[in-house]
Amino acid sequence: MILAVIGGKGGVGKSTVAFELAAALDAVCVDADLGMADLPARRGPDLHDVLAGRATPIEAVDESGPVDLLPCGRTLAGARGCEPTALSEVLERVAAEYDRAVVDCPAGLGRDSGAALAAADACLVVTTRERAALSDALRARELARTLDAGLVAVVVNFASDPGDVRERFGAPAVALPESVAIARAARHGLTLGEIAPDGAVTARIDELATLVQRSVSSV
Amino acid sequence: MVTLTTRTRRERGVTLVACRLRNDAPEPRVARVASQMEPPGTAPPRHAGEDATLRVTVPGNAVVGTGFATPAEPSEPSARLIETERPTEEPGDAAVVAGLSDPRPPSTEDGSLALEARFADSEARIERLAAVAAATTVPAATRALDDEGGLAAVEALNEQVAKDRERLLAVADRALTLAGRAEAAEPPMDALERLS
Repeated sequence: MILAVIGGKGGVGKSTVAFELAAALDAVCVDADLGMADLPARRGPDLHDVLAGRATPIEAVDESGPVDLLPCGRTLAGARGCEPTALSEVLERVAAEYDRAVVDCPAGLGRDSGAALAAADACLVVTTRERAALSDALRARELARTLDAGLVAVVVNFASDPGDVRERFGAPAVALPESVAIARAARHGLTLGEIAPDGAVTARIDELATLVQRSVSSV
Repeated sequence: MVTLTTRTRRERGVTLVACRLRNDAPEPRVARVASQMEPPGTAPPRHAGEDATLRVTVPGNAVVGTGFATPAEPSEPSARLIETERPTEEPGDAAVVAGLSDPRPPSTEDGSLALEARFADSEARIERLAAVAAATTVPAATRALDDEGGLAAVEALNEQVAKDRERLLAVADRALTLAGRAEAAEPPMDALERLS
């Protein structure tokens, strides 16, 4: 199963949601933000190396942290040397080996996001309630539809209730309230389940994980 | 064979129709689902043609969810499976992906030029928006709106400038970080000179 976490706009919390969801689903988290990686860096080969043919997808998966992570390089030179369309195949290889992959897609709808969506079985759109974020999220959902990645749910980040997002997107909407714990967890490469197992946000992440499992289960 | 089950839920004046398509056959099928509601609903299917149908690819031996929303009151049947067909080799995903923008940063030689061009673009947009903002009288505001091509155009410009602002801040951020690193990377030249 490959789940793409998309949003269109930067800064809406895609990476954090992807990381937490990967933890909840026991999946590999793939940091596909080729130009602006923001999940914790680890040692060893990264996605830049994989997309440039210097490493295989499997050897780039780091299993040392609380979540298996295929990190992304942070250099411009590395980003320049990538073949973004090769991302589809990379994700398929990871999913074949680890069963589940959650992809943290970059902001903007470039070929890298497209390649992730093309490989994905389903997607999760992350937005805030700001207008610019919502219109980018609608565009992201359009691209996902074109590429046949079913929309599992819309995550309305930094909000206590989803407002009219459910109606606007025609999909389940889950609000994630602003949380100090989640920000702190992500910064330290920890999962929310580890530092705040009983928190409200943890419960919402679990709710999202259940939605994902329900909508992409095979017969 | 593909079968369709639906579930409707009424919420805040909108009926949400959830559709589950199950394909028992090993081969993938493309299913067309038609809304039976009046009005058929638009939020989405945005891709629905005039006949308000959803086209969904259902892989072999799999269940796929889709759905739509409509202001109509719930009624049965809410949606109907009109037909299924074998997936055609459309100008597939690869072509769609190839049509998207290249996310790779430009090479260093044209990098600074590209950055200059982006600054110039942003500056032009900011000036245009400032001109609209500066209109304080009704006739001036009307003229400014007309110059930009109407309210929707100003809204779009406003959104674009908000994005410009974000990008500019990101560039500034990066520049500051790099400058900081440049400072920290300065070796103690005096001590090194004594070593050689």
